[in-house]
Formats: sequence, C-alpha cells, structure tokens
Amino acid sequence: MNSNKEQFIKDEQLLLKECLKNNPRALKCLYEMYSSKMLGILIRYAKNKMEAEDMLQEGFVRVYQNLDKFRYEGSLEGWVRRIMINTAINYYKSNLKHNQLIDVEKVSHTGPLSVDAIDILSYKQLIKLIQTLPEGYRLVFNLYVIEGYSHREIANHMGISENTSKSQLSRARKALQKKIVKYSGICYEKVDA
Amino acid sequence: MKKLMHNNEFDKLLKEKLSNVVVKPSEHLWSRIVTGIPRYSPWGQIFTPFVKIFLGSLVFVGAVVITTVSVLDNQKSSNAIMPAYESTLRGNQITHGQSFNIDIFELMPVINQSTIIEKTETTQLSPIDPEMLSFAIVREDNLIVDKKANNAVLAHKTSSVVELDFSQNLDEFPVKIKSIVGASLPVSEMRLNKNPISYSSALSAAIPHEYINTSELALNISYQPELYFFDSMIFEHSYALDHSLNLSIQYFTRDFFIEMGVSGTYVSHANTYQNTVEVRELVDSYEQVDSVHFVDVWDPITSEFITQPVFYTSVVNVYDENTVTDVVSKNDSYLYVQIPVFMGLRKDIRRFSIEAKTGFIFSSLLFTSEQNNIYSNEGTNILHAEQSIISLKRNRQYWSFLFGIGASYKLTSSAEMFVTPTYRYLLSPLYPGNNPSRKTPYAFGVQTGIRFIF
Repeated sequence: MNSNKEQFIKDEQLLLKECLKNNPRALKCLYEMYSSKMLGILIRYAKNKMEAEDMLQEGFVRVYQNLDKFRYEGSLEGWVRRIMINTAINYYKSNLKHNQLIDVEKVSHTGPLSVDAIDILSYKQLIKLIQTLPEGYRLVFNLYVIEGYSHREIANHMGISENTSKSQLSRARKALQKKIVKYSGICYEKVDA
Repeated sequence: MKKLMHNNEFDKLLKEKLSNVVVKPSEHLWSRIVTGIPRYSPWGQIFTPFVKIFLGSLVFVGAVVITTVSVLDNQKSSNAIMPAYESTLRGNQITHGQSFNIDIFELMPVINQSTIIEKTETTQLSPIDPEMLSFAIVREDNLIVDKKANNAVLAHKTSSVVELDFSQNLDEFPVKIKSIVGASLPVSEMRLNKNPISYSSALSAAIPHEYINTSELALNISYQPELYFFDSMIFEHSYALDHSLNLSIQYFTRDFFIEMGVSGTYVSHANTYQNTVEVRELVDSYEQVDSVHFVDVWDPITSEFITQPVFYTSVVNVYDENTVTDVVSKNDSYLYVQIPVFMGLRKDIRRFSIEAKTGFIFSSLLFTSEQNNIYSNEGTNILHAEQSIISLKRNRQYWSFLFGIGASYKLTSSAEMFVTPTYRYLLSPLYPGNNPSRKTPYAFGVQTGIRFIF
C-alpha cells in the first residue's frame, strides 16, 4: 500500500488515472496529499476550524466529481486550490442570507502598522484574528491580499461592485491592523506626512 | 525605533506569513468526505472477490461430485459382472482349515478404514500377505470382509473370525480360508461409512443396500463468532465482531447433505455521528434607559433646589446564535435473525469427518440502536440539536454467501462435535446506495457446535 502511495506521489498522472478508475487508495492518497495544505487556506476563510473542515469536505467532493475535467494545463495542486477557494466563496454566498449583516464597528482611522506587531504574532494567532473579521471583509481580504485576485475578479466572484470590494478591503485591512495592534500590544504610530 | 509600514508592505508581510500554512484535518474528515464521493465502478470492486470465492467453491464441490460419480460408475460396471447365484456360506459352517466356495459378491458391507472401530482389542490377526492383506468376519450368518484393514476387525455378537487369502485373483474362486482366528468377539453395533468412495472398489458392488445407512437427520446447535471487515475509508473501526447462535437441521444422504436453520446474531459496531447544536450564547449586556424623571433636589452647597434627572434603567442581554458541530464515535448494537440454506459434502475418516458446505444466508435486522436526534433534553441555551450518522446506516435486509470447510468428531454413534471455519461475502449491500466505495463487507468466522444424529 505504501509503495502505491509513493508511486502516486511521484506520478501525478498515474494518481489521476487511478482516481478516475475509482481506486480507493488513489482517492485517499489525493486527499492526504492536499488536505492539510487546503485546510491551511480554508481556515483563513472560515470563522473556525470546524467551518473550514466543512468547506474542505465540500471542496474535496467537488474535486472528485470534476477530476475528469482536469486538463493538465496547470498543476494539480493549483487546480485543487482554485476549487477550494471557489468553494469558500460559494460557502459565503450560501450563508449570506442566513447571516445578519451587521456593521460591526466603525473603523477609526489607523496609521501604518509596526512590522514588529506582525512579527510577534504566530501564523496561528494571525489566522485567529482574521477569523474574527466579518465574513465579507474576511473573504475580500483573503482573495486580494493572499490569493492575489484583482478587485474586478473579486467583484465578479462575489457579485458585488469593484468599489464595494475596494471599500471592504480597506475596512478589513484597518480592522485587522487594529486587532493586530491590540493583540500584540505593540502600538502603531502615524507616519508624519 | 519601530519600523513602520504601508498597506502594500502589510499585505506582503501577511501573505508571506500565511500563504504556506498547513493545518492537519481531524481524523474523521475523510470518512465524511468519502460519503460524498460518487460511486465507484462496480465490476472491479464488487464481483471480483465474490466470483473468486464462488468459482473456488464450485471447483471444489464439482471435483468431489465428479470423483463420486466415477466411483458410482465403477459400481455399476461391477454390478454388471455380478453372478446370479447365491452363497450358502454361513458362519457356523466355518471350521479350521476348511476351504469353502465363497461368493465374493455376496459378502457383506466392507468394514473399511472410515468405519468407527468401537473396540480394537479383538485385533489379533496377522497379515497373510502385506500387499493383499484381507480379513473376514463371520457375523451370525453373514460374512463381512475387511479388505486391506489396518489393524482392526469387527465381529458381531456371536461371530467367528476367519482369515481369507485374497492374494489370488479375486475373480478366481473358491477363496481359500486360511484359518479361523477367533470367535464370539463381543463388539457393539457397527456403524457403516456412508461414503461409497471409501469402500474397496472391488468389493463395493457386493454391498447390499439394506446394510448401508444412506440417510440421516441431524440437529445442529452451534455458536459462530464472525469478524467482519468494513471499508476503512468510511468507518473509523473497520471491523466488527458478530456473535451468532445457530440452530439447524441437516439431512444427509450418502456424502451429501443439505442444511437449513435459523440464527440469532448480535453485533456491536462503532458508527461515526455528527452532532450539530445551535446554541444561544450570552455575549454582552448593556444598560438601557427606560425612562427619565426629573426631580428637584436640595443642594446644601448652593442652598437652593436644583433639578436632577433620574434614570430608570434595565439590563438588556445580547445573545449570539452559534452552530457548533462535532464528530463523535458511538457503538451501535444490531440484532439480526438469519436463515441459512446450505448444501455440502462430508467424508468420514474413522471418528473424524471432513465436511465442506456452501450456501446462502438471508439476514433481517430486528433491532438497532442507530439513531438520530439524541438530544432529547435540550437546555435553555440549546435552540436546536441533532445527531446524524456519518458512517452509513445499515440496510434492514441482505443476502450473503457462505463457504465453510471443517471437521467433526464422533463422540458417540448419535452425537458429534464440529468446528467449521467460514468465509462470508455479502451479496446484497449492507449499506444503502450511498456507500461510496461499494466495498461490501466480508467476514471470517468459526462455527463450533454439537450435532445430534437421529
């Protein structure tokens, strides 16, 4: 069984071929290869690990359902990643009607942040802070800052205007900076013009 | 001095820190995912093991049947040369050193190696010819030949034992009686082998049917633990131990038998459940001003009345609704009634018998502790709670194929104990169509019990 797994890891095409044949070992191997990485992405989009795992579950089912559509035009990991992010966006959309849209806080103006404030926090702490952002902020922030989507792409995916995307990002950024400062205990300072 | 940054730098720093994060999923997640995967292609997964087992069983049963039929054919050809005249030989006519004309085809059933030897102390015969060793026993008025017996012969009641010389061609008569070895050997009732294969082919034709007990009825009471193996992708515990109590009736005819019965089976198997609880949590509270009254209060400092407001407030709690999901493992009990129908073959070797059986079992679920919505006692803060099974819920009925090969030991002429290792393969799914891998469970078991022969 291990030798099979090693073969699959070495040979992506063989892995996909076996997955399409519904070989259970190949399917599980695909899961084992990417589940941790993808959960590392999705956990930023969710408000907790449980929600991230729900997204991961939904995402992997989509991956398996659409394996035959993978055309080897890019890396398999990139393809799986795109599916996961789309799943996170859909998750946000489907939950939108259930979520009470609250303008959580009036974000006061914040100046530039100290590098030390981010350095002092572990990635786990940063993720926790991101998770406390309102869902819309969190999604736009992740898509723009981490995934590198443009505002136009975000607007298309989320069904909002580009300006809304920009303002959501700005608010998200400021809210996060404020949380980072508060959490790290290192004050930010304004840069003199 | 603190290093300050702008938005781009902030974004870049966060991206560096967060883009390669790896988080290990919880152990149950794969089992949740796998339930949503579309079905596998059926042929490779379902039928191959079944076909292998089934064909193996067919080959085994077929081989035994063919061998048996060939022996029966020999019998028929022997019957064809059977002389028409009857022997007049009687046990009480045999005397020492006397020669008789013996009709070999009138000899009584052969005591062969698979006959139960109830007493062996009567064995005093020395072989005439190691290659063609033959003994004969005179039972009251009939002659019983034990051709190539190892070391034991039987006599019946007041019998005489004679030694025959079969070194000559069996087709040549008369057969010379070498000596009378003993007489009046008390031996209890002889049980004949039911298997015609075991008889000497040269003499088998001479066996009168009335001396062969060709059919028997038996009652089996047995206990059968079986270890089921499940798809490890779905179940956290990929095995479960079943305990069955079986009651069955066997009908033997020669070496074949059919068996029918009823079983009660208990199994405990760990299922994976997802608990979803909607809770109402107190997250904050604030003081709300319900009304304001103004009263005049004497101010001793200014020595005049001043009007002051009096606030009537109440505390308003702020609640947040949250849904919490958790995955847990829970042992569920299942109670089945099973109806087996088997056919098989049996070969006796002295007190031991080897038997192989194969057949089908219908199982019906009588009771299960699988359940949803276990949260009956909802707390004030629990708005809604439910428990749903992630691992698959069992079907209420299924068919399975069983193959077993084992041995029995004759305790007495009417009681045996037996041990039969079994292999079972489920023909119809144990779980509904949502079984993603469609890997049907299989089981290895051991059936041990007592058989009463009537």
